[in-house]
Amino acid sequence: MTMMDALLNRAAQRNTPAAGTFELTARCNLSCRMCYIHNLSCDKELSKDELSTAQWIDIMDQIQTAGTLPLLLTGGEPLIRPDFPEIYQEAVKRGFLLSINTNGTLLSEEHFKLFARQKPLRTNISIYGMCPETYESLCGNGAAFEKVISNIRHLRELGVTVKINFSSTSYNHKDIPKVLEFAREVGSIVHFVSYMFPPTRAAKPCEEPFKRYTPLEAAEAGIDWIRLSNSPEQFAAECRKHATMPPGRIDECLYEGKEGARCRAGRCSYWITYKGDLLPCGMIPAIHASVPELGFRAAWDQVGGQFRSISMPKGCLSCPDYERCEVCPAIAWAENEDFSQVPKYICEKNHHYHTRLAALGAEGSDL
Amino acid sequence: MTINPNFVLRELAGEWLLVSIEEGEEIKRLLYLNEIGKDIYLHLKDGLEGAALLDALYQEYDADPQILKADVEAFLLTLRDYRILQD
Ligand code: SF4
Ligand code: SF4
Repeated sequence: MTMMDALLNRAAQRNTPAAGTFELTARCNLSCRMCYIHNLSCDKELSKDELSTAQWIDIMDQIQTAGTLPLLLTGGEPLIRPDFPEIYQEAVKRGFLLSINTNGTLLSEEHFKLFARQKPLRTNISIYGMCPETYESLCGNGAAFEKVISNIRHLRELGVTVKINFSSTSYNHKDIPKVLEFAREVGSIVHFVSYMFPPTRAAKPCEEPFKRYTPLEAAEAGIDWIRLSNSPEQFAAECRKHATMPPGRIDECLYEGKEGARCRAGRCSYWITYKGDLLPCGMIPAIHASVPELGFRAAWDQVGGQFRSISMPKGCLSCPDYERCEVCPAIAWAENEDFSQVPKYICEKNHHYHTRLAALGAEGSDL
Repeated sequence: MTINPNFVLRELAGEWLLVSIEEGEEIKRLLYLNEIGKDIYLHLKDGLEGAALLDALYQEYDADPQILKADVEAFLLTLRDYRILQD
């Protein structure tokens, strides 16, 4: 565990709002089918509600006083805001440890200079596929592919750390090996997910609905990922681990014995939406308080208190797989709009994932 | 001896950190400080050095003068290494 992790855990025990996310906008220049928030056709409306530069800077002063150090700037696409460089520099001046989430298509000369001069802790760039066709089918913009790839290369030349986020879907599944190859070439780590949240925060549903993986497909994609991103020996070892893993095992359980969320949301981390609503995490719009109206401290106390009283679904708490399942309140809410209901999609995905890996591990050969 | 102005003193869950905001530097360049490290840094910022710095610390900490002196010297070397303290 790093010193930073240890301090964040301590902050979580004290309910100190130590790690923040600013969702600077819900607008984006791409229109990815699975996006939980964005829909191009609503951009005009969305921009009306965005906090101003001055409001974000005022919130920075408040969160600094409240004890925040790591700060993630995200969206929508945060670089779509013309005032992004100003917001970034104001955050640097205050000594926040900055990370950025971006789709990597809008990086201008000004952004490159900014990041080269004052390097973010991490630039997280989403790659949606490894060819223009995949970008076209998933994000509605084939030309974006070349742009992202060349921008990542340029950032790496400037010495900026890039983490690649890869959301695996049926539209880009075939591109997994190429994503890995590219990540190796540019020296980036990849964060892989195959669970897509239903778009609970979208202003308007997509005209062409997103075909989500079935739970089995999502589990298989996760297994493919482990297989492809590791050596055959490492993959075999991972399978054996699952074959011998007793139910209830977990690698990192932060708050054992508690019935609430197992993550840092609402304990030491929070998310502020483009409108200024404070949420325990970006995927839980059901619990919120307005920072411009109440001030940060009061909004945090209200939201944190409410979220910490949420219990995981009873069916999960008594489930033998609970401790090795990714279920969390955000997923329960996104799947059922109800914190107390077991999210069946995750049950099926989780069950298939572990039994399949365990079976491969038990076979022991021909992996 | 001058203190590099391009560091910000921040607190995280009761620990102190100096965060570099220098242009061209990695922002992740962090130095974790304990309570006495934080006090030394603040005294240096106030312009105390040498005997005056040690005097101020003797007043605040009930420590063996020899040990305190050695600790302060070691800490000043670390600050120089991070270019937080410059000549
Ligand atoms: S998505 Fe789930 S695990 Fe992640 S921060 Fe939100 S509640 Fe926690
Ligand atoms: S989501 Fe399903 S598998 Fe996961 S803990 Fe809950 S009941 Fe168990």
